[in-house]
Amino acid sequence: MIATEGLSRVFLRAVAPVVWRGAAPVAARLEGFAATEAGSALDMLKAAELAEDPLLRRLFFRHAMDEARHARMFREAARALAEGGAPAANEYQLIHARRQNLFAWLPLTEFLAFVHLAERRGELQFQVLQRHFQHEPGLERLFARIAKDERFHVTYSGRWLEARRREGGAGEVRAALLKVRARRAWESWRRAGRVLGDLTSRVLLGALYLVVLPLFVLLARAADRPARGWQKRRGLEANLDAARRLF
Amino acid sequence: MNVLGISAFFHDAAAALLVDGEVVACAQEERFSRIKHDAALPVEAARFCLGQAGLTMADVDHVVFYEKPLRKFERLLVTHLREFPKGLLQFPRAMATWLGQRLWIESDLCKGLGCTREQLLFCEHHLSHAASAFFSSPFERAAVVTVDGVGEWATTSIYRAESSASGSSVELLEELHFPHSIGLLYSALTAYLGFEVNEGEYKVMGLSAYGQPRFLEALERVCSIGDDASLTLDARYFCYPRSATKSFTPELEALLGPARVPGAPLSFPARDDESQRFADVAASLQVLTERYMLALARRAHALTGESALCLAGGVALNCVANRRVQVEGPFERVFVQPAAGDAGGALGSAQWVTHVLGRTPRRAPLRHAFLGAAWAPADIARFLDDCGVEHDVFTDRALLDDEVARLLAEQQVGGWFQGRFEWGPRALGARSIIADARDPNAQDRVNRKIKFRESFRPFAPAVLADEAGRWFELDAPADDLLAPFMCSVVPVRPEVRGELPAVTHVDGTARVQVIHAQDNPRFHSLVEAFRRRTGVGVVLNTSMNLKDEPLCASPAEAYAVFARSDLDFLVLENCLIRRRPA
Repeated sequence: MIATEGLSRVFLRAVAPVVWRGAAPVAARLEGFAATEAGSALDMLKAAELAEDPLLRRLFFRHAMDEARHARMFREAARALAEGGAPAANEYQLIHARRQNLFAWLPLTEFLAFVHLAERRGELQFQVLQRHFQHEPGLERLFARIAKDERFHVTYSGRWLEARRREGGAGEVRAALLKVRARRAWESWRRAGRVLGDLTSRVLLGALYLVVLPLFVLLARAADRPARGWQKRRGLEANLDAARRLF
Repeated sequence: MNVLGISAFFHDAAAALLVDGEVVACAQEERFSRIKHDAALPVEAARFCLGQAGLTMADVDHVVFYEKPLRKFERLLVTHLREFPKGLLQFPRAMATWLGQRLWIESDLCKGLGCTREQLLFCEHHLSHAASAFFSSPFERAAVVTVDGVGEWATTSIYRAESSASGSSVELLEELHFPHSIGLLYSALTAYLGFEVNEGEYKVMGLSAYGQPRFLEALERVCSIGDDASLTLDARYFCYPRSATKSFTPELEALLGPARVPGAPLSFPARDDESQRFADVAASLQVLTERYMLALARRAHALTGESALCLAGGVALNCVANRRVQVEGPFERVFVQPAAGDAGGALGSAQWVTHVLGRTPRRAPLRHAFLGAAWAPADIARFLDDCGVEHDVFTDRALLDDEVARLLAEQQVGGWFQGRFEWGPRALGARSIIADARDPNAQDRVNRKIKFRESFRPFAPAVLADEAGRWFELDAPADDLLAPFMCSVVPVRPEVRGELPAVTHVDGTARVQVIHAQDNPRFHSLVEAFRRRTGVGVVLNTSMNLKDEPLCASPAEAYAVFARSDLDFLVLENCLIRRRPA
């Protein structure tokens, strides 16, 4: 585990100077972080609402408020960098893409395993970025502050998993951590597959458009009478058979 | 007979449940998913609706989808054939969506909702709208006009609807077809003005009050209205048939000037020519829309000879146009269903199957919009205790009302969360942010520090029914149907405009909500307490959400709004949370 984290840290440090350069790309990435944190805030809030254990409820709630604050901090930093420019993308499309609502369908141990691993990844990334932006006090402070909050999230989720282990649930915790890692890998694979599939389908459909459609275009244009003005439709049926049809 | 209506896959997905003709529950999926205008299959909303009635999917006789998907697909194909080869970039994207998802809608609905194919029915888009307006209205017969961007092919339709003990009917008289659509014109100009389509239309309406319609003549070149109220758009100015990302062409910019860059500053009173130009474009569009809606109303009257009119479709959310139709149109009474947009299709499709196909008699008309989920006060108190949120619990509701009235009178701004959340886009006193309507700083404060939205946008007043005439030029009884749902904009009486600065728009109007004790008792009781303290039975009422977020559903979401904004207090049922001094 420590070796994996070490490798991740080295990798993140190596790519940071390439990825995190130029005001506009940095602003766009900060907006991406903002959307992730906002989505995470919604997930944690839902968890706080649904959890039965008062202590977990309180922790999830605080976690949600932290994430909402981070989202705001990232967004403000992004907008300051973009100097009043428009946000890179529609905020809700970003939140939609990152929202997972895990508490509703994961067992509690698996949910906390997910929180633990995700927050540890976040902490690591923000620590690397804090170091990367050491000569830009605003961004350095931002990442330092958020990494500190992430540490708290790592700690509470880690403590809960540790307590579960001590209660005799060592196997359950191990399985949960494994499942979360496996799901992450599977989702990365699926994301890549989706991108590839999307690209392929667009190319094929584009070719279809250029090769096959022209034949129909000629026929359609000969027969087509675009409707203008008021149209009357006769023979409309109001019965169950007609309602079962998709047309 | 139990019927579940579903709208989905475009925007504002929703579910609505009718049990033996009674509307038991309606909700938009966005309230559960927290994704504004969520278009996904409304699994959560459907689950909520069934739970509210204590039913399972097996108890449901029919699940009705609000449009005919294959007719929509036909329109897409025909449009691409007409536009060839200009749609090269859009065609693969659109086809991927259809081939990957929408063509298999039956199996998606069955899998997502847990129903069978035998339960599934499909109702036309505009028929769903028409049914939602007519069957929710108090009328036994009426003309129905539906106007939106586009359904399958129809963009505007006129129906005659009636119901009696022997059955109900909604008969299509005539319709306009794509691409000739006032809704698409409004959307294209919403995009031109730098706002998001399907979201920024309200902003355009608010902006229009700051402008003069000096571009009306130019817009009449873009969109011509015939003597028979038919409408024709000049295709040179639009590219929505062939592009998913842009809806207007450079020709439109040549006509009206360069489009506004999204996010570019708009300041009013206008400090620059550009802000004023955009306001003038908005004003011109608004005048054109109002004229068209009036022409449509006259056409519908001539065709049907009815004395009552029901309006639905996204354009029926244009409250200024609704008011003109009511005051200047030929109908004695006008009704607008509160969720007039696509969400309302879920309700209408279920009502059409229940009342027309199922011949189940109509129940009472829709008198309030509180059809969403509620949370028990004890659960809320426990949630706040568990989360360590300091709060006061009021066992006596009258004391709570008095305390909140006191805070409002001190010009504090608060959140008000009571009972079941609203159906439709408006907050009507269940999930509201409230403030003193007399406070001259309230509008700016709520816009800038609480909702983080554009400073030019107005706020609505909520007024006690017995005091409405004192402040607003209402036209009773005609206004009785629109005002409870905030569906009409009326003039504030000139002599009292200075007394209600927070809710009087720059043109001296307000989108008023009239509160009746029998339909909205909790909110009425609060405003009554405010009147006892101040002598004014009016409060500012706006939706409990932040910019670009859906209206709150649950107590935690309401608290999230409180925590992330400058609200002074938050009422969750009988719990009062106050902002601690920093």
